Amino acid sequence: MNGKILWRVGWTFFLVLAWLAVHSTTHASNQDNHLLYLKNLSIAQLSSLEVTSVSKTEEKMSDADAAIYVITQEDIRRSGLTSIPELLRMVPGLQVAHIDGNKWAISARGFNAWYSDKLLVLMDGRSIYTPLFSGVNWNMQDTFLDDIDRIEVIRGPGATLWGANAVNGVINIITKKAQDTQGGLVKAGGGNLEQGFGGARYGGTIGEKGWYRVYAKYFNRASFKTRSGHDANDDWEMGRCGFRMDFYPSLNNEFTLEGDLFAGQSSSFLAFTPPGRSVPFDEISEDQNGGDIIGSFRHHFSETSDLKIQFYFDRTHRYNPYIKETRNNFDLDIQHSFVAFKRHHLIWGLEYRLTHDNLPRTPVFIFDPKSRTDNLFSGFLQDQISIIDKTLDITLGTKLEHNDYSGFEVQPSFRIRYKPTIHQLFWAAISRAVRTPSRADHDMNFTLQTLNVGPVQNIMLLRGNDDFGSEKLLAYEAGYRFAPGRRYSFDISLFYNVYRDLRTNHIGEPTQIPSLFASPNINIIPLNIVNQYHEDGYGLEISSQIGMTKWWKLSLSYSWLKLLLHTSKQVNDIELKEDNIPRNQFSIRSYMDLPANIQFDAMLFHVDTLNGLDVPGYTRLDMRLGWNPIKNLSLSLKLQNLLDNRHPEFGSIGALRASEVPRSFYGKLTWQF
Amino acid sequence: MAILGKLHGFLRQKGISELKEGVLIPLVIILGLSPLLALASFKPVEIKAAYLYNLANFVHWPETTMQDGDFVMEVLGNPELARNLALLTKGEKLEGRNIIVRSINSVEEIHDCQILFVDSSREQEVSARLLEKLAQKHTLIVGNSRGFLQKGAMVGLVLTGKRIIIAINTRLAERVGISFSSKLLKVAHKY
Repeated sequence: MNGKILWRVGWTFFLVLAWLAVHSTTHASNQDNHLLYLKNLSIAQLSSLEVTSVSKTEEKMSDADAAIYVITQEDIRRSGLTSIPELLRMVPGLQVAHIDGNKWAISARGFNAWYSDKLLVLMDGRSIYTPLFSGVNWNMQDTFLDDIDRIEVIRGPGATLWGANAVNGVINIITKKAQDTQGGLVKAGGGNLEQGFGGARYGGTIGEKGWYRVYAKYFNRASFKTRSGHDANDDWEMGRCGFRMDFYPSLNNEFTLEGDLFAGQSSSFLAFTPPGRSVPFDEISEDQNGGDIIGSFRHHFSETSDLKIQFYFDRTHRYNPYIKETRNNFDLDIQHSFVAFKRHHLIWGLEYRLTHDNLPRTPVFIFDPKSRTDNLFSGFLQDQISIIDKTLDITLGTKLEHNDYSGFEVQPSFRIRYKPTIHQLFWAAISRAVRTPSRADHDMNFTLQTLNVGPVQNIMLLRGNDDFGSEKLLAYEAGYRFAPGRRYSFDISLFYNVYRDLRTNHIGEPTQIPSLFASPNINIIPLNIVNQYHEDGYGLEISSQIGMTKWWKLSLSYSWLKLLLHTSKQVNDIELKEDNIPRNQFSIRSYMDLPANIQFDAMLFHVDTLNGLDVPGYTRLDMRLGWNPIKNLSLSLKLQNLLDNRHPEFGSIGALRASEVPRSFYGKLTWQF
Repeated sequence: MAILGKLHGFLRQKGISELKEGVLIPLVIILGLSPLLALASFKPVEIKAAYLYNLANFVHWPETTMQDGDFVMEVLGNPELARNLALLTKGEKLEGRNIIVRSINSVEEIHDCQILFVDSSREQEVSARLLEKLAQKHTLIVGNSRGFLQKGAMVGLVLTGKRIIIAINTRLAERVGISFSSKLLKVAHKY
């Protein structure tokens, strides 16, 4: 390279940096330039501009009478995390732990397990909480992360609005409207754990009053490590595509249609020898696929009256040597909110859900009946009454629903909100919520263990019980929020939860089945699922956002949790045991905007020891470096788990072997047009 | 300053032709990009002001109202919007007439004007009867909400998602002889 070219390249680079530095500081404040620019736009161009205002997110977080936390698109982008469950680590007080490379235990306020049954999760109003085992198959959930608008997490019961199973919390994953994802976005990357991922989205218009987007994505994740450092055989790959269309035929009407299709494969290590087999299962591979379609219609009667009708259909198929599940869900939901007599903000809703499954017998699971159709009918009414305008209000409401397992369920709540000044808010609530029985709680025959003693083969059989009822919660909560200005906010919530009739299993009378042909005789030892334990849970969650400077933002959180099981007996149920949850958790997140369009972000998470699962406490440090060399292009480098080679986050559950999260890195390139 | 010193040295050393290729061309490219960056995002008041500024060119009032005198726009309950609008219309004329922007704070202050903008916080105070009275005087009434359009406003600058769209109640406007250009009608939502 000769000197001339070097000069030129050097100068160009320098000028670019200088221009970016100058422009990034003066841009926002230069109102006259803004107006000058706007003056030359046509009306059509004006109607396509985005406005900056107090976002719904900020409004929600500062005004809610519940322990709410919102993960924004900015948080998602700057975390560099690549899956929905991992993103949930950012929520104060949530327990998020990798079990293996593609399974998570995620819960709020305790009761964490492979299937955490007290946390309800919805994506654009579609429930992704499986009625088979009560919980979320996290390894089947994903979307195009850049198109998520926000993830709203409410800790504490949300059953009055959301229905059964929103016991300890409810998570709403909300994607952007199609008009907010116009144009193209292509991304690709890879690293040691993220072996390769890529995706593309394109959004355009349909006529003058419609917008659409389509996306496709794929990822391939490598295995974690076992405790001894070997490959854990728990890799995971998944492909997914989908679309969303939003129409505004007139000012008062909105139509949305969206859908997804996915297929994936995940592996795990489940060491088990089912009866009648001499070779044990160990490395098993699961095929997953499915799809969903959601249609919704919203009508504005007036500024204060809104009607929403939504339907969805969802099909999932999961196939491994243990479970072969096909499930179809159909749901219709109507909600109407309006203001009556000035002081009353009323919301009522009706919902019907049908779920149909097919569960062929496997050597491990036998469901009786094999196929089942269940109906859920529910309705709710909530009234928010303003006592002193914009200062004090109370909210009363209840849900009434009927399901095919436990019959009628009533889930009322009472909330009070007091805003002495515009910067402060106190809230308190008493609510009841239930976790309704799952299909497995009633109908499963699960071979837990086989043991040959002489000529007799003993089979431990975990059996569903048609008399198993709901697990109940009565929750007392209170919180305080303080936000003087936009640069600092502080939030604390306290709770005392009283749980009744929690699930466990009782050993029943063994039955002998004499073998007709040859030994061994079979001895079945049943473990029947029953409602038994009572438990209390209490704790606090604190979070704070601090805008240190214009270019540096900090987000802090701390949570403390204690569970108190009312029994003197030895309890084996993983989710009930107090020493299986972290007593203390804290996190620090830092977002820095450096000159020359460079971002440096770091996250530190600390999780206490899980004594019952033999998992030592760990501190995890992640870092991300992002750079936008030109407007449409961004490059980023992400390092995860910098502080150790690998660590476990959860223990093995029965035959499912937990594995350890290794240190990892990946690079990513994103191009927008 | 160090930059200028360096530039000075560079000029002397390389001569002006070098400057054209080495500095000016990248400079032009970079500056050319700057409108793209301006697309980032705007305050609602800025966009609304630009709409109001544009509106005057696409609305036809009956001859009787378009007599001599100033073209008056009144903004009720939003001084910041009025300020932005005043900045936009500074030194501009509409069909030879001066454009006057008035910021007012109560319903009593409403005078004869061609365009009246009512901020959403003040829509309650403007009764349907007053709207009808203003309409008869051929005032183009602009609001922010669907409710206000229903009540009797002719144009709505309504926040929908992250954008502000324009909605027009053509029936109401045409009744009192106010018409809109086809260009505007093509973009606007009919109501």
